[in-house]
Amino acid sequence: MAKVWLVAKQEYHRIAGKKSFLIATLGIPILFIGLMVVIALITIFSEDGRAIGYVDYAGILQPDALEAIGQDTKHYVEILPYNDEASALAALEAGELQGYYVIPSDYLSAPSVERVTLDQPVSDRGRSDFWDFMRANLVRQLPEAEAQRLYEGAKLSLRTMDGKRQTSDADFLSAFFPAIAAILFVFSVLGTGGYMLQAITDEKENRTMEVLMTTLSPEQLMGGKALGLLGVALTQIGLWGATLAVGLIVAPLFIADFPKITIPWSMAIVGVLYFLPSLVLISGMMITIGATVSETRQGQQISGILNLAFNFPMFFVMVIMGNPNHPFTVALSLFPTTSFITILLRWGFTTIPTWQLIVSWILLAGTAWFSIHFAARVFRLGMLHYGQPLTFKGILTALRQSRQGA
Amino acid sequence: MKPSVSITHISKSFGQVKAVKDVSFEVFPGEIFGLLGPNGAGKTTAIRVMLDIFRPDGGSVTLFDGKLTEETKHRIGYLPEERGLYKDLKLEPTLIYLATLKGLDEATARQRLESWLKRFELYEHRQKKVQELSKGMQQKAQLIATLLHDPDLIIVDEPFSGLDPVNTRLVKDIIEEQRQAGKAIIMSTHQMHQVEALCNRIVLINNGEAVLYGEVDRIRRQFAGNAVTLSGQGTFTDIPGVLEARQQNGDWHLALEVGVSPQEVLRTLALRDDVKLERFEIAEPSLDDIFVMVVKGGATAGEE
Repeated sequence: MAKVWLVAKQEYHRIAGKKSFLIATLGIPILFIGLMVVIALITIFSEDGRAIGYVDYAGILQPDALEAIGQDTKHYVEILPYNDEASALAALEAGELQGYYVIPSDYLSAPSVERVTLDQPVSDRGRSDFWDFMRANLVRQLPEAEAQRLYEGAKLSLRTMDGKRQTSDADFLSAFFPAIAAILFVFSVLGTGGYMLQAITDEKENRTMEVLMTTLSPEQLMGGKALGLLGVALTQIGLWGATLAVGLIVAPLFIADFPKITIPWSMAIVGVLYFLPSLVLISGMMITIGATVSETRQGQQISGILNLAFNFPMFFVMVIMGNPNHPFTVALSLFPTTSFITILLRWGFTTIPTWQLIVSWILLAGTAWFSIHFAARVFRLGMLHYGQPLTFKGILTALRQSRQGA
Repeated sequence: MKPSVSITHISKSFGQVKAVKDVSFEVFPGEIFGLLGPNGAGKTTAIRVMLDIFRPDGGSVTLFDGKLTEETKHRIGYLPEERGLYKDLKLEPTLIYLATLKGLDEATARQRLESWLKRFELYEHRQKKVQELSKGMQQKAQLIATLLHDPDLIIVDEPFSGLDPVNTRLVKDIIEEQRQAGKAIIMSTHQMHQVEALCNRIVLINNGEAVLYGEVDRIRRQFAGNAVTLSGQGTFTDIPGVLEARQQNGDWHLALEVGVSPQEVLRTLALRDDVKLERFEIAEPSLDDIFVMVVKGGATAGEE
C-alpha cells in the first residue's frame, strides 16, 4: 500500500505541475471570473442613474406609492413628477432625466403610456423601477394584503408528480445547474482520462516503465496512478465548484434580478456516485490504449474516438432536455459511457425513475470493474511486447492464452 | 557460497519466436558476471525473465535463495539498456522518488543522493529537468538510480553507453568498488575489452541459447589456437579459413574458422606472393575473437 501511495503522490504532483493541467484547471475559473468582472463593469459603467420623470394627466400616481406598500426604494432611480410636458422636456434636455412618461387622462380605460427620450433609451433599471412605481400606484387603493399580492404578480411553479422536485420562473436557472455540472464533470473525467493515457504512454516511451516494473507490480502501478488521478480530478472539480459557489454569491450583488439558484444536493450525490465509476471506466480504457500503442500520438488519436463515446449525449442535448423520458434518452442513460452525462442532463427536467438510476449505475460500475481488469491484462501483455504496438488479434490471442495458463 | 542469482533452464517464446532456449547460469556475490551475445540474441529477454517483467515458459529463477518478492525487489538495482527516467521532471526529485519506491526513506535517499551527485558531477544540475541533461549525464543519472538504494544485485545493460573516457573510467571504478563490497553484478555489454577488464565469468547467448559459460580466463585458454597474430608487409585479408582479420598496433590479428589450424593458415600465407610474412604467433584469443568465432563460425570451447 505504501508503494501505491508513493505512486499516487508522484502522479498527482507530476500532473498538477503540468502547464496543460494548470491551464485547463485555472482557465475555466479565470474565464468565469473574467466574465463576472466584465458583466459587473458593464453594469456599473452603463448604468444610467439619472431620474425618470412623469406627467400624470390621469391623476392616479402618488410619489410615495412604493413606500406605501412597504417597498424599500433605496436602490431605485429617482422618479419625479412634472406638471406638464414642457417642463418635463426641459428637464430631459437639461440632462436631468433619462426620459419621462406621459400618462394620458384616459389611462384607466385605455392603459397605454407614452415614453419620451432623447437619443439614449431609458435604462433597463429605470424602466423596471418605473413599472414597479406604476404597479404600486395601481394597487395602492386595495387592502394591504391584496395590494401586496397583486404588486408581486403571479409566481408559476412546476412540480413533479411525486412532489419531490419543483422549479419556478424565479429559479429557472436551477434546472440548468445539473447541465452545467454535467459539462464540468465530463471535462474533468475526460481530461483526467487523457492524463492517464499520457502517463502510461510516456512511461512506455521514455522507458521508465521497465525500471518501475522491477519495483512495482502492474496492480500497484495502476492503483497508484488511478488514486493520483482521482486526486487530480477532485482538485479540479473542487476548484471549479468553489469558483461557481463564489460566483453565485457575488453575482446577485452586481446583477439586478439575478435568478435564485437552489443547489440540487440529491443531484450532487448522484453525480459523485456516477463520477467515481466513470473515472475508473475511462482510466481502464486509457490504460488499455496506452498499453497497446507504442507512441503517445497514436494513443491520442484513439482516445479522441473514445472521448466521443463519452461526449455523445452532448450532441443530443436539446433532445434530452426537450424529451427527457424518450426511449432514446433512456437508452443513453443506461449505456455505460453515456449514462453519466445523460443522467445529469435529464436531472433538471424530469424525475428519473429509480429503476433507471439503479440499472444504469450497476451497468456503469460493472463495466468499470471489467475495464480495469481487462486493462491489467492488456497492460501485462503490453509489457511482453515492450516497444511494439499490440494488434487486436494479438490481444485476443494472448488473453486467451493467459486465461488458459492461469 | 550461495549464488545471488540462479537461472535454471529458462525458456521464453513470443509466438513462434523462441527468444530464450534452456539457458542456465549462476551469479555469485562479489563477482562481475558478463552476459554477452549479439543483438537479438536473447540477453535482454533473459534479464527481463530474471526480473519477472516476463514470465518464463519453462525453467526457474531463484534470487537470493528464493522467489522474487517485494523485499527481494528492493535488493536489486537495474540499469536498462534503454534509459528510463521521467524527462519532464527535475533530476533530484526523480531520483528520490525511484529510491523511495525501492524502500528507502526520503531523508536517507536525499543524504545518499548528495554524495552520488557530487561524485558524478551532477550536483549542480540536480534542479534541471532530465531532458535538459546531455546523454552522458542522463546515463550517469540512471546509474545513480540503479545504485542509490545500495542493492545487493546490480544488473547493468550497456553501462558505458554515451560516456566519455573519463566517465567510462569512473563507472568502471564504481562497478569494481561494488564488486569489492560483495555485490553480485551482471553486466551486459558489447564492449568486449570492458568485459575482459572487469568480468570474472561470462555466459554467451546466441540465438537464445547459452553457447559459452564459465570463467573468462578458462574460456580464453579453451579457445587458444583459434587465433593468430602476425606482422609483415601487405594486406592479410581474404585468407581462406579466417573469419575475421583486423589490424591492431601494426600487427594483424586473425580469428580462425572452426577446424582450421594455425599451420594451415601459415601454409596458405607462405604460398601468397602479395604478402611478406615477418612474424607469425599462435595467440590466446581475446573475448572479441571468441565472440566472433562463436557467433559467426559456430565454434565451441575445446578442452584445455
